[in-house]
Amino acid sequence: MAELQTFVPVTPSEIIQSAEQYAKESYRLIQMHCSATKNNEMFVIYTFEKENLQMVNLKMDVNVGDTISSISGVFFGAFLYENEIHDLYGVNYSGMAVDFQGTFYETAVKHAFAPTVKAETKE
Amino acid sequence: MAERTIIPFGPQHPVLPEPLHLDLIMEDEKVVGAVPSIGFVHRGLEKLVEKRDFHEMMYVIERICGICSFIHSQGYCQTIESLMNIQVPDRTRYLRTIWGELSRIHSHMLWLGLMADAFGFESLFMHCWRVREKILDIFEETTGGRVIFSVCKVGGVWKDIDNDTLKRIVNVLKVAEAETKELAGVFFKDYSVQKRTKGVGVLTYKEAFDIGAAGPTLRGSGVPQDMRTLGYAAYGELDFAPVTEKDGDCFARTNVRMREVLQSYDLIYQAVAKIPDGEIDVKVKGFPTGEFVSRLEQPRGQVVYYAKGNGTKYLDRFRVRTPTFANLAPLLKMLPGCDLADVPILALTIDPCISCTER
Repeated sequence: MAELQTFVPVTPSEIIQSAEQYAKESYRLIQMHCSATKNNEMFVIYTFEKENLQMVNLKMDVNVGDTISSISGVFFGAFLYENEIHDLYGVNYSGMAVDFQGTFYETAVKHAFAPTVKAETKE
Repeated sequence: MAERTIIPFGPQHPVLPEPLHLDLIMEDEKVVGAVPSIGFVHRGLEKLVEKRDFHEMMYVIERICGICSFIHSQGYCQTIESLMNIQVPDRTRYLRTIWGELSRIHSHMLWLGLMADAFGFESLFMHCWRVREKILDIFEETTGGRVIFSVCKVGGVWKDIDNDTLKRIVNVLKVAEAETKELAGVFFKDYSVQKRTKGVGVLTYKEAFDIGAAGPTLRGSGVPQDMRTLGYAAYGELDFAPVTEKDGDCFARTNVRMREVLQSYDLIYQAVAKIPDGEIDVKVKGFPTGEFVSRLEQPRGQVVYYAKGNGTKYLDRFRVRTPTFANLAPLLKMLPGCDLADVPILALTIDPCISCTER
């Protein structure tokens, strides 16, 4: 019995407004993560959930070095995910509730999960 | 206004087996703010999807945590099975439920022991771990392992538990349950337990939900949310309701865990009574394609898995959002207003697993 999957595309300019809308509709943020595919495409997924467990995912295309508005002003806990994405993928967030300035994860290789690093490692 | 000082807490601390660091902003003995630091043991396990095929990744994923290793492997397999539209046999669903609930008992008894140790109740700590030992013996008998079991696989499980052994396990659990009930009496009624935990670190219903709390941290504030109610594995066929407490303090979170242990015994009895005979795996053909988000209930709370397949034997991405990661923000909400002496107890009540969190 697989759960219903909903992925809604969102752009960086819409993310704050979307987050506020989901907060208004009694959703909460349960996770954010970034992914890089084999074709070097990157996207961030925001997962929201209602108390009745209804779930929705927002999907945003991003690139290394992009600056995205933080949603930690709407969902406080987002700053942890945003610092993680910054440290592992090199996506910047503006206005985070707590900005660790790249020290959230002390990895040996900077932005270790970014596609650019993957290419360099293979060479 | 009192002068503000910053006191470092962790990453090495007697109550924390895990490397969590907090910069505690203090006014005299009161905490007024906290900034967490993790990242001391980041292993980059998710990155290994590029080098391990989707069958091998199960062995990596179950090593994310030594306490909830089985449920990590179950969650990984369920996510991949959903991607590949694989229907596992009914007996497999029940076996996974039984091992999952044994894992919950083992995790909560370990935590209850650590909690007792943290407030100086050494004999209670030892009794909790004595009960837990019976569960580890069951794991060893049924899987061959006490920490890492490697019993789940995409499409089923590697090992069956025969019906005679299941009956014997129930008999062992009846003894463990009676002992757990005695310990529950201590946790619910003992003066020293109440003195250290009641009214400490209160998180309201709304705060807990809005900030993204998970598991007993969420249910201790009265939110009746438990991923098992989604009905994965055999949970849809078992009778249970989320365990909740209203007060939102350390005592409530402790009680939720203790009551969940008792509930887990009952769920295992139900599963053993209903488990059907039959196969324990199906043949897996092809490779995962598409993307899927799944949620399970670990002992520490909701875990979120995301998998993206590309039609080859290697996944593009496998992401794990562990319950401790979700509970770091609630911890920051609970700390302001508490005494410095309460910080270890408070930090412990989210049941922090930083190894899980840093994957």
